[in-house]
Amino acid sequence: MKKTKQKGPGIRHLKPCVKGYVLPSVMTPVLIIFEVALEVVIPLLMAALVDGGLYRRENYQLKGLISRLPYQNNLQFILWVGGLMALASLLSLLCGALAARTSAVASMGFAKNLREKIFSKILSFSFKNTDKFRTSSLVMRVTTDVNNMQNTYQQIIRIMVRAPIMMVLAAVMAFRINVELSFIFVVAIPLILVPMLILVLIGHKRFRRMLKKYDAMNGAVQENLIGARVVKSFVREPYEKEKFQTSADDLMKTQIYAQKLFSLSNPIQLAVMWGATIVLLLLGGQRVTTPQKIVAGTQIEYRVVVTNNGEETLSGITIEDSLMPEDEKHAFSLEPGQSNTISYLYTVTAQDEAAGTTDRSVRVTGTLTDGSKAGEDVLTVTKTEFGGLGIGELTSMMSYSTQVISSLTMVSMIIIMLSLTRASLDRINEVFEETIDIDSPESDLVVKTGEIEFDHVDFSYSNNPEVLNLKDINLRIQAGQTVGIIGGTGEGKSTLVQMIPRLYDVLAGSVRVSGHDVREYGLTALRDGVSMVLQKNMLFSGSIRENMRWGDPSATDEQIREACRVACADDFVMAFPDGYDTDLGQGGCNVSGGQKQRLCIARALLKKPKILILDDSTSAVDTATEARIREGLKNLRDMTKIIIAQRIGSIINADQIVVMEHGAISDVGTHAELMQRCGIYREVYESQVREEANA
Amino acid sequence: MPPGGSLNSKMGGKRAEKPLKTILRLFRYYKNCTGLLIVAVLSILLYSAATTATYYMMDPLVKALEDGVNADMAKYIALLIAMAALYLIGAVTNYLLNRLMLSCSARVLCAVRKEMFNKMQQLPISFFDGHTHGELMSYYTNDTDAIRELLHHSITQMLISVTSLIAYIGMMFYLSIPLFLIVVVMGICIFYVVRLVGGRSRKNFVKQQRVVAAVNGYVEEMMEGQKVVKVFNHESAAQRGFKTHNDELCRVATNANTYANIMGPLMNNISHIFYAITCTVGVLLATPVPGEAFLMEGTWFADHQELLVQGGVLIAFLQYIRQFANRISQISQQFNSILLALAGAERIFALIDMPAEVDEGTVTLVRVEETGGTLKETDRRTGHWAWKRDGALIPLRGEVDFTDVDFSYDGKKQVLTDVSLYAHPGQKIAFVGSTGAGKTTITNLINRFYDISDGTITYDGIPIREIKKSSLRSSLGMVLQDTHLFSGTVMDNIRYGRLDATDEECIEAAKIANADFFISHLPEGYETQLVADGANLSQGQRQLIAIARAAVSDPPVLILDEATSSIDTRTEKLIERGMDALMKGRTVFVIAHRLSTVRNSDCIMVLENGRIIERGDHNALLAQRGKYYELCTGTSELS
Repeated sequence: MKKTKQKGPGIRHLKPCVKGYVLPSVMTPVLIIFEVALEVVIPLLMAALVDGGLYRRENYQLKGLISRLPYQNNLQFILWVGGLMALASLLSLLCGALAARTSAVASMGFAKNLREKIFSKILSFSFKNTDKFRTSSLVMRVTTDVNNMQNTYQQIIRIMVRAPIMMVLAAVMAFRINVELSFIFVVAIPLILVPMLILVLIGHKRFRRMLKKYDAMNGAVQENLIGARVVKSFVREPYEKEKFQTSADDLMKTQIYAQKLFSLSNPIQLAVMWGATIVLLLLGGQRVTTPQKIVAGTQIEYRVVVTNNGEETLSGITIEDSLMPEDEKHAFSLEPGQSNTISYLYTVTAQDEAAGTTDRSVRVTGTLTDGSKAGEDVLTVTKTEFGGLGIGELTSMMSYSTQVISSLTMVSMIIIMLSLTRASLDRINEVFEETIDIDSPESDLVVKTGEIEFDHVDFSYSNNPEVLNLKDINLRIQAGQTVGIIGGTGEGKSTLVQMIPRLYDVLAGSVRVSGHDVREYGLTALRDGVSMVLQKNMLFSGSIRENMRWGDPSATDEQIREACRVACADDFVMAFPDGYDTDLGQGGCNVSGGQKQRLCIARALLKKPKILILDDSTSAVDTATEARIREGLKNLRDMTKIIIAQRIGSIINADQIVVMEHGAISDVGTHAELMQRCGIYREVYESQVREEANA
Repeated sequence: MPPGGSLNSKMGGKRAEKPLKTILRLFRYYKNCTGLLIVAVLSILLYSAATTATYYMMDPLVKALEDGVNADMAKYIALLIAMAALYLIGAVTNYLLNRLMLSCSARVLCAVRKEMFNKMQQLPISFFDGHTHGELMSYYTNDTDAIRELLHHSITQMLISVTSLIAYIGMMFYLSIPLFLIVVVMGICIFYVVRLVGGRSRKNFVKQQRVVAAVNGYVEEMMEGQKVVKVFNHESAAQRGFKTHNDELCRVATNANTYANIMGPLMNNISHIFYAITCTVGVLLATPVPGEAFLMEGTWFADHQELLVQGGVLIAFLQYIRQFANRISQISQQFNSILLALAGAERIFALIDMPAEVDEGTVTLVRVEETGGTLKETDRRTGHWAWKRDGALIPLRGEVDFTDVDFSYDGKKQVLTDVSLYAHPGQKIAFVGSTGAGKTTITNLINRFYDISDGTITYDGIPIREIKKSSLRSSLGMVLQDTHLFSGTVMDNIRYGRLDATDEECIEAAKIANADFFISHLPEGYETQLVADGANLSQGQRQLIAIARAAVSDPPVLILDEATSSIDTRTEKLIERGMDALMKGRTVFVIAHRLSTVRNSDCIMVLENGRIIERGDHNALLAQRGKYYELCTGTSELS
């Protein structure tokens, strides 16, 4: 299998997912081996039935087994062998049905474990890890890619076992029937494999080209859909159509170019399979003999077995057999219980053909130790036609050849399919191989106060000291203070506050909360103490109450209302017909932007944090309401409040205002101080309040 | 395709509602390759006939074997040559049918794609607003993939299986009626098994589909809100929630897959059982040498010797019975996937059948030149335009009137009520109001993305309904809130505004939009490739390119849906300056979030709940001390 050979993680991460489903995973191939073995016996039994039952050959397949059955006549023989065939099919059915169940249990269980494992790994991602993957791509890994792995796993334990086993067993059976004829496989197998390999090698390149075109076309379509308004307002429909026609035509051409190769694969397989059949019939046909019709010139192998049933040694035993060549006829001795087998070839003569039979008579005489002659009373002799090929046997050889070759095709197809799931495996491995860059130390520390200190903090999203997103940040915030942060987009405001709950780790320097470096806290303890309302926030499907309990799972209804009152959310929630039981729908789509922001603030408050960070969390809330929220927050005296804002009005009364520019703190002070000495601050302030002044 | 391979399509769950109608419609697309199709179908027929005949060859071959090959070697070889010839025909027709069906299906697929895309270009904007991009993309990915699989593989396989099956039935009936009766019993057995297992399987897959949707929804939501999950230490709760969904999926999927998996072994082994029965009965009925059958002496068969079979007939019959079961098994497998694929085709056809955006307008926009006070239509680019109405030319000035306009998106909830406004050429009209007040809706009506329910809108005195949509939209420049750029170079994107613009004109437009400076500082300047949706540029830079794009199209009327809410003050200033340059001398409709950008408008409309509640210029409105005053002084909410 290709997968195990590759470098990198391979299936290392997948192996543990079999846990809990080892038994069905092992049982499936075992059951399938039984199923295939029983299936492969059927042509053999058919040969026995046709040769032994219909043509009454002396020698037929599985004679050793069948001759022990308690049949008395040919009719019973036929019924017994037919019964055996039906029994084998029934058992095979049973094994197959069980394998269907076990494989479903095993592969779905495997997928369940894998899905859970990958989901949990993604949950453990730090912000930095998350930034690397797009949401849609993560969703795809948990859904589509896991699905592909599940199907692949099922195929491996079912077909990946079935096809090669079928191939081997069918080949073994064929060898059992006739070794020389079976060498046809030695020729047929490379005849299939080599062209298939060539097709795959050439095809792979062409397919890649096709997929590229396909992606390009879909990319163009997607752009067209997203930009529908642009297309329509510039009246570019004809242009877009023309563009699409070209790429669709292009795709069609590359599709035909790639797939036409594979139009050859079927005919090649059929040709080899059928060619093998013809060769089998040609070479095998000449070896076929039937007791019913003997033809001059046909060579028959006879086997004469002489056994000494007496209690004395016999010597000078001679055989009288008109067909036996003279040079085979030398006298021999037999100990008691011993037997001697003489095989010889006889070419059927015209007289035999005219008589419709060969002379089957055989007599044997020997000499006892006392010199007296002994005949059939002591010696038994059997003369059987041996070798040659029954019609049933030839037919079953044809079945086996078909089974071997179609299994081979199956194997090659699975290998191609497996190579297609490689992409999914790689994507899954990418998630597992992602190292979580923020680890949570074992620690009993809890955040006691809301005191914060930034001490020469450098930070870079790309971990590159040359490209710093925060440069030498020094800032002290007393517990209970209200701090405003102001600055343009991309200047580092959000980055700065994300250092506090350790959403990202500093590159150099340290961030201390309540006197301890944030890296000394357990992550849960730290984040319980530091509550942050993200800029891009989200509510989840479920009721408002359920969403609020994210902040505190054990919050009472009164506590929830209290938090909502502070966030000015209680009024509008109570105005909903269902109040706090109102279902928010996926992504909180049933409330307006401003309402959503207020609910998010309430949710953060429910954590009763020592530090509350509002990252531009009131942008959609009107100024009056915002002022009320600020007023409410002021009453939470122990809680340190950090507010990132666009409007200076939101932070004008803060104890400290931090002005950020290019990832560095350009100034810190109160409103009055900054108005005096900070040019940027003044500029922003003036542009924002001009209207009020005008009014 | 191996049995497990179709699992993905089985996941689809939804089956076609009118399979026959859909398939006939699909066949109509073959009209461009009728010749190929005829040859392909002939190949299929020939292939089925040839393979059926090869199995029949076993009868004379076995007869020859019974007589001894050595007795008449020439005859035996002749038979083998005949068989080889049939095989050769089989292999060649197999290649032909694969190759031709590939050509046909690729062409049909291409035609379907084109028709679908063309239709999509004609659909009104409400269609795009009403569907997610994912939904729309799945027409091009899942649904067309399903059709490709259907046309290229399933239908071919189905045709081969069905024609072969008919041929086998005929041959078996011809070979031996008693043995044929066994086959009939087998057929009935298989029918019931397929119905039972197939039904259960389908039911379970529908159930699975539901659970899969729930799991996907949950995953999507948690991935979307991952940062929130982290901030609230909600990982273990999320994990628990996931486990509930995941366990349910495992349970349901196991059942569904059990039924799907069991079909193969069931069909295979049922055929083995009947093979055993046929073989046994056949041997009993067979006569190795004429007149020597088993069941003959003294039995009923002595009088009905025609019911007995010969060895060769039995061997041939046994070959047919195996193939018969294989074919049925293939058909039952194909059947479901064909119905699923047809469901995809149905969705696509439903899209193609959607009514296109109607355009009853007759008034067109033409280039004109003015010679001696009279307008004359011309192909030359003069920078002057006129409306051509019944042959008469009306100069394009950019005057837009709304009279008592009512509008509703869904026919239920009134979005605009009694909106009247009058924009003189060259005026700047601003709309202010909270989300959902109807600002963007008004601009959607001017360019007829949506049609008004009541009232009139005129453009230079012409009701906009009478203007051809393409002409109307060409005369309106739009800079939208969500800046959308296409992959291609910066130059390509600017040129999107006017396809025949020269490089110089594009650069000139970029200069007007204040975009030239940053563009020339990009690594490859105007030739910089933008990746999907311009992700390698900042929001502000994209906005500037969009402004340049509008500038190059040089429209008399501009609609600016401002997008400065998430842009820092400096970039905003840059954009403002770009916009100001662009607005010069044009009628402009501005939607503003930040009031600072609308202060210099000639008229500001304050919208609330779909009505214009205040209008006037900045100073007049402030003097009114109404809503606008509240908004400016920050005592009212704008969300």
